[in-house]
Amino acid sequence: MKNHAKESLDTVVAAAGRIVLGKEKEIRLALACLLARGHLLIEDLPGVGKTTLAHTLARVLGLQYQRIQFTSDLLPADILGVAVFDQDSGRFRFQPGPIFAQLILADEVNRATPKAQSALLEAMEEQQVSVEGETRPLPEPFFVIATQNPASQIGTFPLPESQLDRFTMRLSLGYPDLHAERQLLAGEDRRDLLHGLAPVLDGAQLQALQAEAGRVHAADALLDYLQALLALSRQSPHFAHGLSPRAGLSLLHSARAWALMAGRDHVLPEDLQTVLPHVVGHRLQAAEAGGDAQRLVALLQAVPIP
Amino acid sequence: MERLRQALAWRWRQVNRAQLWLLAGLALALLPHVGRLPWLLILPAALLLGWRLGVELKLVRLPPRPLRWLLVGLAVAATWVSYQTLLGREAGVALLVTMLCLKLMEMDRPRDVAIVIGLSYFVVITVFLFDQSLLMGAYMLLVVALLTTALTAFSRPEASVPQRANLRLATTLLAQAAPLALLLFVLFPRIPGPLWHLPSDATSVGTGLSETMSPGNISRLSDNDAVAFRVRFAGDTPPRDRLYWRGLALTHFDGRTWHNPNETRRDAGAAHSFDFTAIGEPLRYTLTLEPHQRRWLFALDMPASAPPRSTVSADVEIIARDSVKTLRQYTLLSYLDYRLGAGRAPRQFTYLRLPPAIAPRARILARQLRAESRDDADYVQRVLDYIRQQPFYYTREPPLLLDDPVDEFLFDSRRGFCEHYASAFTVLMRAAGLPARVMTGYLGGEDNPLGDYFIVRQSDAHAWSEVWLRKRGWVRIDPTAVIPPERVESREDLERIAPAYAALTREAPDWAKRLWRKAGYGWDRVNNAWNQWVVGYDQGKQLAFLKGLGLKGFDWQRMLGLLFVGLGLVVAIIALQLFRRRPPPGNAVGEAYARFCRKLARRGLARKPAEGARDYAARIIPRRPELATQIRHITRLYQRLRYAPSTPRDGLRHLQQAVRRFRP
Repeated sequence: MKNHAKESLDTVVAAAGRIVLGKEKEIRLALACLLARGHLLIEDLPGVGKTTLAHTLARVLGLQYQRIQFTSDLLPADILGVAVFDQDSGRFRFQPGPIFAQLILADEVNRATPKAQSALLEAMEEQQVSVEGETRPLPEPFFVIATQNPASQIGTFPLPESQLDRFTMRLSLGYPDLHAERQLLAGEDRRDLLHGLAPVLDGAQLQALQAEAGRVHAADALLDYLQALLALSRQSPHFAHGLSPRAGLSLLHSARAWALMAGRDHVLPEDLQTVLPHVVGHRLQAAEAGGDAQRLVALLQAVPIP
Repeated sequence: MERLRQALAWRWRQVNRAQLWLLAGLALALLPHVGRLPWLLILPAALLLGWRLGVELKLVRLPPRPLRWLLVGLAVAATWVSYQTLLGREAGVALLVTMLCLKLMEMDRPRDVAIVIGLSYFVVITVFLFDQSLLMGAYMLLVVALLTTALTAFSRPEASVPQRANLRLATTLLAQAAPLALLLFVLFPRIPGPLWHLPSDATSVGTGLSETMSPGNISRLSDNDAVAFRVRFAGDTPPRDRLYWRGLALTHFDGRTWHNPNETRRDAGAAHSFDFTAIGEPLRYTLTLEPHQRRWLFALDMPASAPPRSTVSADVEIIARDSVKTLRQYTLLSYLDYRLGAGRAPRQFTYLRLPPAIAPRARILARQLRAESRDDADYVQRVLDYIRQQPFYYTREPPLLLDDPVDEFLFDSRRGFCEHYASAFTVLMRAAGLPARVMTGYLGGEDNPLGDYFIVRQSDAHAWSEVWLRKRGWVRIDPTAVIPPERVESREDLERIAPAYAALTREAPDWAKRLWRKAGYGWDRVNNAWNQWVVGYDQGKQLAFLKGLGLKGFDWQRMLGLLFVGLGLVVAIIALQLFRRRPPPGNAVGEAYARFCRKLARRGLARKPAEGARDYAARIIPRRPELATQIRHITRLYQRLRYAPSTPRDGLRHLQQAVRRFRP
């Protein structure tokens, strides 16, 4: 059964890898994030394939896909939807916003005002939206990929740490390597390829896989290790603040998903170590001015495995 | 009543457990002293212990300062009343014990606790001033464990520390101390003789032979199974009926009691020249004497030399410089056949004197027999014949002799123990003008078949005579030996006096008796080993032991050097054990894997602390491809056992096995 999960997930990764070239690890991490029922933040320059990655994942996994371009004049209603008066029935009818989809690409999320940002983040957290006093559930599975452009900070509203904490993982894609870039340049247009891509899974199968990821065993010894990591972040003077309990849960869930993708029914310390930089990187802040989050991750990576 | 019980139970749960450990340890440390110290001091000590327990239960309060001073005064006074001194072994111990119990009344700071526990350890040591047996040693070890537990409990007062953990820690501490103690015991330079002189308390009276002999005081010992001494012969063992263990010579008789006045022993320090001729081969043996609180030592008749720190008196008794208060061991040479003092007649005054009024009938008999005899030797033979022919009985329950014990025994009762015969025989000798003296000591002994040594017990105590004959010197005559076996009442005495006859008539013991006897021999052998190797571990044994290890010619400086090197080594090993990072206890899987990692670390392939097992395996396999299968197997097993939900059967055993076989 586990190997069945591994097989189908490997197929997903392989299919996506044909579109997003040379980024197998990132695809796997994104998939793990999805299996962990988390949300993903991609921080990178424009044009490195953020959108393509999101779109490809939606396609391969057979999910409804919506893209919301965040701008400084975006209003919460533009995300969540509005109630419009229906002339025929004489009633207000809810017109769902783009958030009502299974995979949302929130592009350049730091361009929007905090008000619009928080509308998205609340929906992410609650898995439901409340409009005009009525609560509407969001579809299942629900997965948000938000992107940020770190280079141009003029006229942006960078997400505060409290908001960043809601993203299970942060990735950056980076430039493709030589070989992948040549393939990209020589090959077909990605968009055309994408249209020709058949879904490997459907929503129900994905949900089953999510449930299975939640059942992956985390032994006491592994939890000891996880707690040692959290304890270090809370006790070391190098950290401005420690990792939150949510960060701990995110680490565990991501590691479980990673273990499932490796075809195992239990989590190894290595799984935790693999997802660690991506799960905690955006949550850490150095105590010293000008401190580097990378150094903090390195400190965590040096924690002995009990 | 029920409420009181509940309240007490509640308070009992509130009591500081460390206090309980201490009180229990102290009480048990005092227990062996109970019979030794006077009740005037033991009772207050017990009361003070109870008081402290009451304080802990919040039933009573600690005494105020003036009362404490008063109690101290009373304790000193009670000790003085009991011993008329505050010094010496028993008075000193008594004072220590009572003062320690009084200290419990002002034990409220950590410093006081440290003092009390330290002194309690000291009380444990004082027990060994009285009793150095194996059982007592084991008991005291238990007490030390309790006191150490108290120490650990006081240093970790948190309620979260379970008492079992304190006990375990104390046991671990003792176990770690054991090699150090062993090393100190084996290598600490011994000086010949005791390190300090035991205080010479005159109050203690040992069992065993006394300085005098009167009717009844040797037969009193005939039921005493206590060991007097043990002997190991270097060569063959002589027959039992030739084993006369010479003790004291008694020269003066007052009509009832034989004794040896001090004047003859005063010149014990002076060198005597003996007219001594040995006949035949000497016997070499090592004798381990139980403490008997007297100065004399025993030797097989007739010793050719005296052990160190002792001298030989004019009557050939071996007198030690100090009374024997601890186990004493010496090696001697003896000759079973000898000629002593043949050249010169002994002083008439000492060896012929009889009180004028006693034993008139015996004197008549002596004169009569002497007149019939050809010479002195013939006279001796006639007296022995008289004893053999007349109805003399050898009994442990002789009738009471009132006015003139010698005459009443010789002519009326004719029932007696060895002291009656020795006394009467010596009197008959002196009455006929033959110099004679009474010897006391032991006869025979029991061969321990399990240990190749002899046990001589107090019940083997014996008395005989020595008569001086012209040209033959002092001759040992045992008048009891001539009594026909059928007139020996007690089986035990028969075995002793006439073993050959006893062997003919011996009944086969039933199996239970045999087993019992065998167990007794086994236990005595253990005790003997303890005495030989622990209590009696002196300079000679130490040097012999080191020689056995191939370390010859060790003086004390080199021994000290070796001792310190050894101590350093042991401490280093223990420290290394402590500092080595170990997985938490009970984690056998982690331990096995840690062993695997250590083996690789010795080959320069140490695991980084933050390195997962899989990553580690992936890193080292390219370096040692020949071990790939083993490394993968161990890594997989470890991961399964440690992280997987269901573990394979016998997985741990397999892992441990694989790690054991793993030889990088």
